[in-house]
Amino acid sequence: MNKNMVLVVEDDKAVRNLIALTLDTHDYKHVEAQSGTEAISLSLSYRPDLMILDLGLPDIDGMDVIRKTRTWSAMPIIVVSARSDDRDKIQALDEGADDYLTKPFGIGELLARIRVSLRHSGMNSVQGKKMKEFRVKDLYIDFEKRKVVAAGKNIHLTPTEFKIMELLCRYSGKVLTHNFIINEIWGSVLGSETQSLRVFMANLRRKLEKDPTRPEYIYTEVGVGYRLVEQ
Amino acid sequence: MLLQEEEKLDEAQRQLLYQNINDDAEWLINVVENILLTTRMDNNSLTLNLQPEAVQDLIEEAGNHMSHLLNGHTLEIVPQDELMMVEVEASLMIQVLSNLIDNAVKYTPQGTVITITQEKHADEVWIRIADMGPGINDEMKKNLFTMFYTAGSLRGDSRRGLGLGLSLCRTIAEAHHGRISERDNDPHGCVFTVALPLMKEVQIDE
Repeated sequence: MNKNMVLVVEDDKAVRNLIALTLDTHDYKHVEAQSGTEAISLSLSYRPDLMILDLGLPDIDGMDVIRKTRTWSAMPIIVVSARSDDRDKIQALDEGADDYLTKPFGIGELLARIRVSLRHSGMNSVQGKKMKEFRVKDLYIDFEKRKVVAAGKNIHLTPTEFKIMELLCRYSGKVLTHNFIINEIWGSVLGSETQSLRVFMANLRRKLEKDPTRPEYIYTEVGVGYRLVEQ
Repeated sequence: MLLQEEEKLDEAQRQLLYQNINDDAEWLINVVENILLTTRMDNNSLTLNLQPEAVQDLIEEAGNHMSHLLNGHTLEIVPQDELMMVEVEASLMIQVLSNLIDNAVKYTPQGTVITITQEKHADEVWIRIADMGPGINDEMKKNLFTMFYTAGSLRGDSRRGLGLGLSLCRTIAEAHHGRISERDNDPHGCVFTVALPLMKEVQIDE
């Protein structure tokens, strides 16, 4: 029996039911809140392992819930937003949310996001522990030897490309916003880095993917950022 | 049916109904989004949230959106070696491309191929969606980009369009300082071209 407790914050009954049902049938415990204030009080009393937070709440701004929660907890937060709100999602991620779901979403996606978020919260990825190696499908990276092998072939990456891969691998399965990657790699967000990042990612794709038009390692979340396939 | 007579149905029949509900819901979502977009466009003060995006990413995402609506058609995305970047509001541009792919699917026979290419022309990128269907006659061509125009002979409840598509696509393209045009494909079919200003290439220093 999965002992993880999920706090579901969603005022839309249909979506709330869908999430609750999915959690129940996959052995997660859960509590439900329908407003931001309820969310904050329930998270304090139940100390959930993860929060699923709808950004379109009736009382306070979803961002406020994230900010307030982050003052005392590092619990993973997955935000749920309506389709066209790229800016909301990015802001939420930059404010401390860990991942996002866009309505309508499938339960496969929901479960994958929960799984990845819980895994990373347990692993203290943020503490910057050095990874020794990373392996998924036909991709293998030895960080100590600085060796990258894709589909049996040795791949040469430039120093920056390698840094980016190391970052993606550390957070594998989780979405990383453009701002986050740029900050981690270049230390600041000026104007031109956004474009540079796109170019670096395109080059990485070309080097690592069997078919760059059908990526199986580096997924582009258009308008938000990038995600490396879950290990 | 499901609400009242569920026990009379077998598993396969129920699955079919679920699938229909899903399809209807998706269609509804698309329609509502299109309508919301139209109202946004009508105000002359339209602020776009522009970000640099790779043309390849936009095309792929549109392809992904449409992948389960292809209905027996094949979508062929021709990759380009050169990385081309445009400054767009990604979700809008993806919607434009999805709309064009959707039209190609709706108005061409099953089993035909829809091809998407991207080419550099001076300081523009031309994204072309080409099909090998029956093409568009001159009468229709005149009204193609008019709001609410639907190819008359194809009306009928099974053709679930609202006719919003092309007019909206053109408005979005123009708001991005681009344009959309249509011409005949050779020997038959349509080619829709979305032209957008290219971002200047950026120098990478390692």
